[in-house]
Amino acid sequence: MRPRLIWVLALLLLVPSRARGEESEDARLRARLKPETAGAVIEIVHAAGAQGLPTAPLVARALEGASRQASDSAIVEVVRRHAGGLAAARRALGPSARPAELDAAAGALMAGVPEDSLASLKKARPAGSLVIPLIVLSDFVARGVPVTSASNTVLAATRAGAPDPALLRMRERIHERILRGEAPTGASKEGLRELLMKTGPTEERGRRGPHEKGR
Amino acid sequence: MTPRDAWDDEVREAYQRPLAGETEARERAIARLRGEDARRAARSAEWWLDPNALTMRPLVAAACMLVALAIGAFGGARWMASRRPVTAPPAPIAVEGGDRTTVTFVFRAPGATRVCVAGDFNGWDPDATPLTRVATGDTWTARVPLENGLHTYAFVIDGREWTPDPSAPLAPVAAFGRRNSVLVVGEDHVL
Amino acid sequence: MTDAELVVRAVAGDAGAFEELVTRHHPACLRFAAHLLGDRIEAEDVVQETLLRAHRSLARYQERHQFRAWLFRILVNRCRTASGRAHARRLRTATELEPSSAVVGDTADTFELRTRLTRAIEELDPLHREAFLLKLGEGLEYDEIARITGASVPALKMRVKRARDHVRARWEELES
Repeated sequence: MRPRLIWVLALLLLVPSRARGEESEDARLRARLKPETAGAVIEIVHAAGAQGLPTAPLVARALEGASRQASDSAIVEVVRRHAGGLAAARRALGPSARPAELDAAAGALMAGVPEDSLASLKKARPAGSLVIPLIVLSDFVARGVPVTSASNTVLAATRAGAPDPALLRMRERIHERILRGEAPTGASKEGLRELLMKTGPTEERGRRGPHEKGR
Repeated sequence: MTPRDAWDDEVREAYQRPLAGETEARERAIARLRGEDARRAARSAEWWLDPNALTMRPLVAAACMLVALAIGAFGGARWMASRRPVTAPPAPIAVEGGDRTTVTFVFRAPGATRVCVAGDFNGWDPDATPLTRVATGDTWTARVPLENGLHTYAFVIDGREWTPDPSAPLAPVAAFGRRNSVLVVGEDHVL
Repeated sequence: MTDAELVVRAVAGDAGAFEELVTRHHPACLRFAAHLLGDRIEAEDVVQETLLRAHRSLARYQERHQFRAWLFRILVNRCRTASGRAHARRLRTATELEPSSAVVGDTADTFELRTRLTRAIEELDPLHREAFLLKLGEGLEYDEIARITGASVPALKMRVKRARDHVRARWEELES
């Protein structure tokens, strides 16, 4: 094969994978949604993509709606709101935020967490991923912990340097407390206290528990 | 040795009373063991069993694609470029590729005849990823290779009842009036 | 199928065999850890760690000993490590959190296993509590307990006796 042809073909094949990705996303939407609905959703998805926002979550929402047999207008509305959430998430977290962070942040914002809280979270953990803190925060809100309390809990834990597995354990324990009938706010405070007891050094003298009395 | 009396029996009985949530705790332990197995198996798996082995850098891909073109398999090249996730049935050896991890879903559904998981990773198809029942109990499991990132999902019982995963974080918004669960797959962990 | 037979299968790679062992012994492990540590949630973590270690070192199990005793030896060690961690805990001051949260000094008692039994044993130190639970709770023989805890049989008998006297007195108090 002539060298030029090879390069042309190579270039064609190297066309940004987003273009190819877009095609396959559009195809999936058209395969599962009515033509009008697919058209409306595709428009939103392309617009989001053009802004550099992740499109996979939007497609996922549409396909979920199709599987759950939601109405066409509901599907379009959900996708539109989520796209708005992603844009707001990028404003709050900055342009370097990764797709998973944006998706998680979008969810939190749509659940009522203020943009300020997200910005504070970013300051608390400037370099690491915020996916887990955001998921934990969203989970609290979904389970009835008031937004302020939930935000403060996750913020305090993140500021204390709690790593992701500790945050997830804290979430599990708070969930168990709520299942046992504790009020969500109290549960989250106690859960935070337990986490802080295990995280990092401090100058305070320890309190000896009942197991630790002398022999 | 102190003679046994009724009090010993009383204490023994109090001690042996079943703890609430023991079954769920046991299932979590089993799920964790399976996760460990997967990690250990992955470390010893041969590279050519890795489903990502076909993913290559662009220039190398271009060269291989020329060969594919030559035999008219342009469609095959487009598939490789779009990297659509594969929802294969559970593999006999769990494989951890660079960008993917095999995740074990565990769900307890007493009385169910069929349990599937639907989520972002399979286009929310309620039939694409069935779970298999463990022994004779109520526990169902499935191993699914997932790409790194955030995944939203729910379980589908008997083809009609959609329910979130009781052990996972809830998705923040019930987009269609129904709660989903979320899971995160990272470079070195599944959370 | 006996535990020993299941171990043989598990060592040969049968994952289901180990899971059957877990099904058989998890309840006992959890109740022991929960009573010993006084914390249901911590107990679950410890039991998981125990099972992972047991799984990894399964080839070292020798058939002449009871599997449960072998497993409990690992469990007791994990519990001891967990209590060691508890001893090293420090409390943060409340000022870093919302001013309204009272943190220092109070106990989160809803996760603790607050039964009469746990309250009756809570003043025992860990070694006495171990011996008491293994003997009166699990009903193990002294030589098994010796292998599990590393203590001598005479020392264990003394601990059980002292623990029993103390717990019985507390038990009567708690009744009223």
